[in-house]
Amino acid sequence: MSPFDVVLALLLVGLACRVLATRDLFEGIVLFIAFGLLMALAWVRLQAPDVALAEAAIGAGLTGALLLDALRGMRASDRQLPVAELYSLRSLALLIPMSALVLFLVGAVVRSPSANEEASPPEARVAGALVRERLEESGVSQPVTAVLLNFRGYDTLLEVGVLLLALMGVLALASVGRQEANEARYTAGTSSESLDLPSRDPVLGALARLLVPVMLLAGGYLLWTGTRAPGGAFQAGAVLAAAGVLLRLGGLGIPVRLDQGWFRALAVCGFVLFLLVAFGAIVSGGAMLEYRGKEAARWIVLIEGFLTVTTAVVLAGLFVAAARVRRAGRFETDPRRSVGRQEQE
Amino acid sequence: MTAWVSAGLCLLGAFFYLSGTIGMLRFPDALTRLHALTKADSMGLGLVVAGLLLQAESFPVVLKLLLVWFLALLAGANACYLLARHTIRRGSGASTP
Repeated sequence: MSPFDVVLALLLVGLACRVLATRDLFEGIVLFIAFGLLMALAWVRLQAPDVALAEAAIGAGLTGALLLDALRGMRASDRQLPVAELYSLRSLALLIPMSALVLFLVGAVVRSPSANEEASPPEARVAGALVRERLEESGVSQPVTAVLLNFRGYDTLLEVGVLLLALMGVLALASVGRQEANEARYTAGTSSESLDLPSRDPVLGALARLLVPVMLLAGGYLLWTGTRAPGGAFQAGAVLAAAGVLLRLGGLGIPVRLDQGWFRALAVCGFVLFLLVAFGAIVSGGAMLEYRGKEAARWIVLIEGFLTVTTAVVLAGLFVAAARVRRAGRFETDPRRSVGRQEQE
Repeated sequence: MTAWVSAGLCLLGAFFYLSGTIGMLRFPDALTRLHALTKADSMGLGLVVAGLLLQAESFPVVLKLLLVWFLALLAGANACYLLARHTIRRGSGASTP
């Protein structure tokens, strides 16, 4: 462990404490994004660039954008946590199981095979060895991709399902209050007052014009390189989704209707193709998701391509739909709230 | 000779980073802190990248370094702008830390 790693680990723990202890939600979110970026750096140091890419793009980038967007919809008075809530009996009671968990995790790290390489029994590294041994059969030369899309393809299939479920939940919320919003959306068109697009910011627009082409290139590269080097569908999709979010923030986004067929088709296409391949293997006499060698390579590339689209559309869709939930909520509560304010004055 | 120039540029860059950090810690409010941090960091990054360019082994590495420099510059300037906008909209530009 180099001094750099020690500083990094201490910074992570310190930042985590600050995130939990801060009363100002904006400060908390900014610290959380910083935490995510340092976490990505920690994954790089642990030689897991795949996880680092995902953490930076999704953990820090898109989650941060979603949290900041949610914060915009909150009243100023709600953005500060009262001290009582922070140090209540309930949070103190949580301290005991949390301490137990921390102790358990520290114990697990200390006793883990990588912490004392020589002392570890050979079977401790059996999973990694097995993947390397049978990498040929997976159809790709990158072990992480082999695990994600072949050896443990089942997990990935369900993960995509979870992503879709999340989007469906937000879409269901977004449809509440849509009727009032509907007329306004179309009379407003794509002007800066449009319900679809947040106010145009010239600087963000210029940034989007410069960065989005680079992001498209980076997304395509991550997908293309995924079979041989760190990268793949999720990372590529996250970068493309971030490009979509940036376009919207810069006022250049496509005014999308969330109930439009093409939007939904793109959101489910990866999951559907994955399912078809999974059950196609059963029909042709194998186990679910069973494909090997040359044939596997073809399927994996195809699935990864479609999964990239699904990941990008779902993640960007979450952002768009969440903004719509916020606006729909404002539509419903605005009159009441302004009445309340007048009464206070 | 090149190694010395490169090391000098990197050290000079580190000096700018340090002064930016001191500025962020010592200046009284959000806008002056942003000013110190963004300007000094942009300068520091430019110098460090220039220093590393002298050590680059191949042309692709040069291009990568230039790309890192360009993207980080873009991100830094825009993050500064967004934070400043947030500060001004909140109406507490010159008072809150």
